[in-house]
Amino acid sequence: MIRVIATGSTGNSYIIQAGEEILLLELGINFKDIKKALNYDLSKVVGALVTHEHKDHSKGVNDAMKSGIDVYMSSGTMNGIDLNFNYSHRMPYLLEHNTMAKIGNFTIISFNTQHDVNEPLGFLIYHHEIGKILFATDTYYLKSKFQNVDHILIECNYSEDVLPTLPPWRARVIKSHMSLEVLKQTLKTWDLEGTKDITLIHISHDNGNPDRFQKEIEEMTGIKTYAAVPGLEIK
Amino acid sequence: MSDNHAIAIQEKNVTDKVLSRIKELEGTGDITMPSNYSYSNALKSAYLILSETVDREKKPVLQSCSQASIINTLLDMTIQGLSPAKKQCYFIAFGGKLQLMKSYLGNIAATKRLKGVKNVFSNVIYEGDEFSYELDLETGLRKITKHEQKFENIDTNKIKGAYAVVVMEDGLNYVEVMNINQIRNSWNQGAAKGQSGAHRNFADEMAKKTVINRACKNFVCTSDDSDLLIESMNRTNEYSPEDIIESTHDEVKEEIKNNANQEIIDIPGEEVKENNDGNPTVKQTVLGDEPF
Repeated sequence: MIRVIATGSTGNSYIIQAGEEILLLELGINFKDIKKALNYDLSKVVGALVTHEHKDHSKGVNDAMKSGIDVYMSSGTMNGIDLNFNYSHRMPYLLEHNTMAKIGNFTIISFNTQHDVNEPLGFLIYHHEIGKILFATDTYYLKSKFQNVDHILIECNYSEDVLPTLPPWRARVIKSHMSLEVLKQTLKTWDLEGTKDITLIHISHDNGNPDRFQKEIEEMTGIKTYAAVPGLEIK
Repeated sequence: MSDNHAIAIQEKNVTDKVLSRIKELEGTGDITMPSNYSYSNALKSAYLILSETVDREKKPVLQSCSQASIINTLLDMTIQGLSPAKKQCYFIAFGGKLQLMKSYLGNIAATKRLKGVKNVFSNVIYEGDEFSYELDLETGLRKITKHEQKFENIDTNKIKGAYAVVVMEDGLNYVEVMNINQIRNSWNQGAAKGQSGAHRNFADEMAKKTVINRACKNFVCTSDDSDLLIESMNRTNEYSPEDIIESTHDEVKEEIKNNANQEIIDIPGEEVKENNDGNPTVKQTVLGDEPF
């Protein structure tokens, strides 16, 4: 089961539950809200993956480590976060491009993403109970491609239609977030045969149109597509 | 040798080369410098700005751009009598080469450098203004015969048009007149399609910019001033912040075309088949060299 707790530029947090194990994706909201979403039961949590150091993805890292959760990220991301060792002597576990890590029964392969931070990562996750999950957010395109992923969680931030109305200082978005048009181009290069569902995450509050993005991706791929909102569950 | 020392030597080399070339051109009468333009001051301030300018990879342009392109850029700046401190021009790095871009203020400054030009100005025509002009069929020039404006007429939502005048010493002024539709069509060519905050909130200033840019462009190309100056003016592109969105987008499209969706990443087959041991240890294996 995949559950969205928070998505977008105000904070990101997702839960993957496979059998009796839970993997957290992103710690970008207050950790107490993540605990609440887990019904204050952290016993099944085997670890948490963080893609990059921006606050909407890493805000809860210190509190999660304080609570005894193993946190995984790239060394560049670790250097971008103010780690607080006052209450915890834990360090994040380090991941890098094209390396495999095992967390409980989850197998994780990290890959580079394209964002304006030190060393952003995306994750390809496998667990025998749920299959393959692809998680990529805050990336204006991907150098890697993937095949037969069961569940895709990928950013669809804005549509290029809004570019003419963007003020010059928003040019950053083009070199840091994925547009609907780039996402379509990306999905066309993947083998989607075994894919059961696609969830569009990190949709921009100002420049995104969740209904339109959901409809267009579903029409193009013929695969059940969701626009992520807090509380969305994918079985 | 320390980095600072290396940069200091480069500065002397580059500015010396530009200075000697300018003196050479002045000596042969190819260009005349305006009396109020001190090119050594302009070069000094340009160099200070350049030493803090970075390219899109955040590398200092003085290191990433070729020396020839830096010299040519500074030469263009000096020939046109532009000042980077007055925001008349900007330095932008494109693929290892430095380029000079000028703002509309720079357009005015450079046009004033042409022989016989006294001034360049523009006005907005609002609804209710009394405006008329006539065509002189002998010279082909327009002449504004009347423009009376009441203060109450000023309203950025009621712009009817704008005109720009290149004032000449001999009185044969060059006049460019545009109505609001022509101005909007010109805005539509830009990336912002006339929808940027500046276009919406300061339509009057943007209209003046548009008509001045057109007047300068047309006037410069019909001027009989030295080819050297005209060439330099034509080589310098106009810079407008609205184009940043479009140029970033083009850059990203190119990057995606070259780099996207290449390397296949997948979970190794043996992991997918057999993974029920429940062993919670962490192991990391490097699967291959990083290809990028």
